[in-house]
Amino acid sequence: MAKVIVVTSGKGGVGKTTITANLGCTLAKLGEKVCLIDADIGLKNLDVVLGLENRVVYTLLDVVNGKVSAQEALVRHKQMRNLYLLAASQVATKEMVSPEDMKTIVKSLYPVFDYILVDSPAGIERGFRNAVAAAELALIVTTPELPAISDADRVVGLLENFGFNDKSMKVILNRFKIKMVKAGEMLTQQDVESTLALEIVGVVPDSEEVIIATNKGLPVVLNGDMSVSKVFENIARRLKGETLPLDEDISQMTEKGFVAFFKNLFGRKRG
Amino acid sequence: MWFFGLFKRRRREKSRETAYKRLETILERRRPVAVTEIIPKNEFEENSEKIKERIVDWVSDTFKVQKDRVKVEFEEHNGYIVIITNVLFE
Repeated sequence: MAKVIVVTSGKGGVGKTTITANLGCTLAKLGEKVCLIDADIGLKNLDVVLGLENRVVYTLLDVVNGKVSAQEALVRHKQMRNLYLLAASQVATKEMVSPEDMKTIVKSLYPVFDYILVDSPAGIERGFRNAVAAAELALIVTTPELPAISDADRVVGLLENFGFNDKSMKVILNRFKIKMVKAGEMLTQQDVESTLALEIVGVVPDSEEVIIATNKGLPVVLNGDMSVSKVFENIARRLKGETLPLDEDISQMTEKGFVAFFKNLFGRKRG
Repeated sequence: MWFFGLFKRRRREKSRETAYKRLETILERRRPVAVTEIIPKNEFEENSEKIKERIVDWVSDTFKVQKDRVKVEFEEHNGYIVIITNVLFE
């Protein structure tokens, strides 16, 4: 039976889709059979981040309308053979799918997968309710900025109304800039953890590699920065039940060694 | 002494500290109000007209408006009574 996880945030543009894609790829790399569902109907992007936009034949709406079964609508990833995508429709609206439809689709995929990740749209309306309907765990993505944390807090309240609790809600802190934190110009992971009163399951660094990877249509964990890949691996392992300290994520962001010493000395930046 | 003061660097508050204070204020406003006393439903219903009159009197006195320009309504939301007061100012 699959573990169903919704990736949500409240605020748009915090990196939900990127995190869903990378986390899905990492879990698949770890040998799990993973299905990604794009619940952002009308503004779908997950297929683009995964580089599968030309392979999508059937969408979530076709499944809801009974045209094909959920399994028939799945697209297999080019590189990760145990990673599948159920794409959203570009032309449909979120109102065309109901939370009950979502539950039925997820139920039909339950026995086939180890993990089902649902990429939620921004906002707290119908699309959000569809995305969370079948989930047992919610990953709330936020950046260390006030509007994102404030919206994340609002989402936490709504998720509590849907029956989630502090065990079934976890936070991913995205676009973390260690240099700014060290300079006292960015909220720390402890600040976010204490204000949201939820466990942080991963701290993802702000990385230009993510933009490059999206341009190539390959998630960063498959083609890019090793430190980002390591962070996603840590998150995946934590989701699988392993206990790994958050410091392991933070330490990936701190350059060490001989090269880093000279980089700092001459103030040269990578990239 | 004022001369030395010119060279003294003032400690600038880091934006992280400002952000944390602002965040706490934003989230505090959303936290649920602590309920100290629960009034039984029947007791509230029996006295609702009296409560309305008291509110109308208070609003009328405070804002110096006639009593017929103050409208009070009760609505139930999630088990709580929300008092909606409309004041028609001149």
